[in-house]
Amino acid sequence: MFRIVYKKELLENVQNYRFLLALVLCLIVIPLGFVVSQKDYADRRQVYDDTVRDDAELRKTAQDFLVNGGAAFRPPAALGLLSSGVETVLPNAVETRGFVTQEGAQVQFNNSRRLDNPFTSLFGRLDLAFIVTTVLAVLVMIFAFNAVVGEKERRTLAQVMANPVPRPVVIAAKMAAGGTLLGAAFLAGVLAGILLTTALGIDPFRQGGTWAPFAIGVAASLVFLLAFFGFGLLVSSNSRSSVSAMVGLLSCWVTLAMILPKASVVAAKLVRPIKSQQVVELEKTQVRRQYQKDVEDAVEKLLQSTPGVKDMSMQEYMKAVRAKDPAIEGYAKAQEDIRAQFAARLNADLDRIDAAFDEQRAGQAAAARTIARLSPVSCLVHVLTELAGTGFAEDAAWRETRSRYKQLVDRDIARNMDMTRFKNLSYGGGKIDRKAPAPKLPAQPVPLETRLAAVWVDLVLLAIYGLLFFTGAYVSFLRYDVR
Amino acid sequence: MTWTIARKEIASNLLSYKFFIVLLLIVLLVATSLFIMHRDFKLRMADYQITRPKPGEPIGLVAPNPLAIFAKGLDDAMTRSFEISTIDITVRAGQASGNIIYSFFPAPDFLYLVRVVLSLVALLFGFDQVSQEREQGTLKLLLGSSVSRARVLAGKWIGNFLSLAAPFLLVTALGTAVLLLDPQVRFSSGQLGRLALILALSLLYLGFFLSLGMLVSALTRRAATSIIVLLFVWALFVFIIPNLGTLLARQFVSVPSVRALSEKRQQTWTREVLLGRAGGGERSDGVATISRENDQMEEDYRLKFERLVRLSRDINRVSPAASFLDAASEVAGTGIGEEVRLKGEIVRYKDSVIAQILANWNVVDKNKTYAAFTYKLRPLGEVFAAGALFDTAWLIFFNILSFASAYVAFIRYDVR
Repeated sequence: MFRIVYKKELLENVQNYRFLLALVLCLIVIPLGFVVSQKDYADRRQVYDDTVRDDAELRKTAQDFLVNGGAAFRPPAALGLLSSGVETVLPNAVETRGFVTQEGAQVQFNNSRRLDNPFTSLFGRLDLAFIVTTVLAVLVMIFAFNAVVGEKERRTLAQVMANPVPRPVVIAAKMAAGGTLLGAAFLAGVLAGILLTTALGIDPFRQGGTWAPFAIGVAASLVFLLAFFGFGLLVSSNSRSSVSAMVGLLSCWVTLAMILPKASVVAAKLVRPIKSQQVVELEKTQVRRQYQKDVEDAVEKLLQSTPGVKDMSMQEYMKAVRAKDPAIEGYAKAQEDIRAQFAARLNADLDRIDAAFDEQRAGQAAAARTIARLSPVSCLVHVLTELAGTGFAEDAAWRETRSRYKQLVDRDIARNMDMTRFKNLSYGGGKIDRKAPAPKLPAQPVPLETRLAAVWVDLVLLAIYGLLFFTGAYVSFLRYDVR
Repeated sequence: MTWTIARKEIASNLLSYKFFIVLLLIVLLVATSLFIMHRDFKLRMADYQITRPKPGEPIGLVAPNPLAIFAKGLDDAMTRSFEISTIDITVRAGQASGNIIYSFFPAPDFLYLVRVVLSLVALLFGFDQVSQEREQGTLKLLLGSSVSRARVLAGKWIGNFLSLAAPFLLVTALGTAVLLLDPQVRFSSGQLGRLALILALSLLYLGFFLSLGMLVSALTRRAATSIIVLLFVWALFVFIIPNLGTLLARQFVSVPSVRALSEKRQQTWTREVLLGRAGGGERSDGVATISRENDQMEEDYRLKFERLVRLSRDINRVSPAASFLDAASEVAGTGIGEEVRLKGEIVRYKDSVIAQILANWNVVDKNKTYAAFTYKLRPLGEVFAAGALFDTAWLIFFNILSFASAYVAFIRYDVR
């Protein structure tokens, strides 16, 4: 019996052009989105490759590093076609700021970017997350809105129910048929997208390790579409007319896709307010200024308390330096100790500010994510974004990269510097081997396991939503008055 | 008679469940959007107050535009800081928020709601106007009386348009009034006028989708078929064509990459500063040359970029959604034209700073100060002359075309 109802549902959807339209839409939108995203990626990858090549040329040795500063670059996400996520606000690189001194390097994110394509900013990106949660979600509504109530209006439901067909079989067949057709149209679109990008030479699989996250992303999208179809059946089974089902579905979609995710951010801001990045930067600048002042005062005090040195003229001092006068060497050593002691305090203070801010940001983001999970749309967006490498895991990885890069520069450069100050003169070359290779930190992609660990809750929730919606539709259909 | 039919439509809408839900939807969406965008604006204003340049600093930074609450457009890009140095203009993230979560679910601004959601709502008002009445048998009764089909269609359009426009305008006006209570959001009379224009453009846009709904309804026999076709057309207009246009334009106009530009600037700098100094050249000459050559490069880039923007815009205009977004964001002062103009002004500001540096090259002054960067939005006349007028006329044309087509289809419609 299931097969008969399933076949009837399939034929009905095919005959009234729904499937044809879904197929056409998927065959246009998904490949178009893939091509747009991949072209954008190809351009940005070119820029990244050129930048890394130039960096290798420009900063070969430690001497080059001292003159030009240093940077570690973030490659663009190869799977941005799944979701562009927060890639536009992620840093392009971490770089040293100003000259590296013995106090340690100042390492900052480079977020400077030019507006390459203003239309993308205006119209939004056509990535898979957007296509599935907006365009295909509307498509699902077309399939589902009158699946039950439409049959009631046409009076065919009463005829079906007059036969010895159990209601669970009818609703399950409707779900299976709708899911089959939607899945077929969606997968055809994805396949067409892969073929088109491959034909154009811009497919995402040229970068290693992209197949698995891509496949998981497509599977998660499919689960979302099925869950949303189940939701459509639930609304249809609770409506008395097709129009009210459509209006109800549209309202729910708007709430789930637009209101809830955005409101989650507002709620998180209210529950866990944090400072802005600019305020934190200002705090750090103030700490650095205070440090500078304290060091200068301490060095001046040292100078004043070092008899024999404090009254020297610049010429006498330099002469004594060249003659390796023990009094001067003692003075330089004491100054080095003061600087090391203050540098440790400065770095600890800066690290504390950064850590506190990072903790606050993470707490606020976690709160927003938890609230947003009330909507399956948010769950899917999280999954696709993390799989694409354009989400929170990437952000966390780059914050870690900033720390690692600073440690590397401090180890190879800053700690080997040895500058001594006498009045207005700073001198000394330190123990840096200027011909040694410049410190480099190659980009390390976030492993798939880490990304999956960040989204497993969302994946499970998507499946639970699917089950819940279908169960709701099933119960509602059991109680449905078919007259 | 037209007005009688319009009143009947309004009354039947008021009594329907559809109207109640749509009203709730509009209230929820507009209120959520204005609330979120208002908070975003306040946050950006607070950041602006912190990051605004001190007097005398050669930094170009503009304050967030209050109309960005309604039409965000490129306001984020326009409010970045442009730091002027003798070598280059460094673009820094401007009034950026402190947490990436804010970028994860960007708030839908008013234009997004109108362009995506309310267009869909307008279709919901129009999709069943003819086919459903035929299915219910009421169309026969209506046309059985002496009323002409033109009047029936006009009455339906007016009634449904008013049912959609009245709550929409009311909720927006209320939301705006609440916004005005915040002393930080100061709209000048000019900005309120611009807001009124944006609302007028929104109504034109929604009117088109209502007519389109009625057209498809008059071309189909069943309301279900009509909604399927309409949703397809909606996706085509709102999502597909704007992206396709930009993609196509990129095939015809090649714009040098940002990296290529940056590389050229680096080459000029190396030649003028490193090699020029090594060869004993005057550094001030090098700075002047760098500034001149960078300007030339910027100009070449700008011309190509503007060609790309023009072509993309022309292709995108096949869709009324693109025309609407372009016109409304330009009127708000957050559109592409405004952003291009701001960049031009920044380059001019940089030239004035460089000229001042060169004029005082040999004067040692640690406390050098520079004139502050100021920027005023283009006057409306200029905005309309630059393309908004064409987009408005184009939207009116879309309205007339879709309504005339609906009329023709309705005349030929078999009401049995």
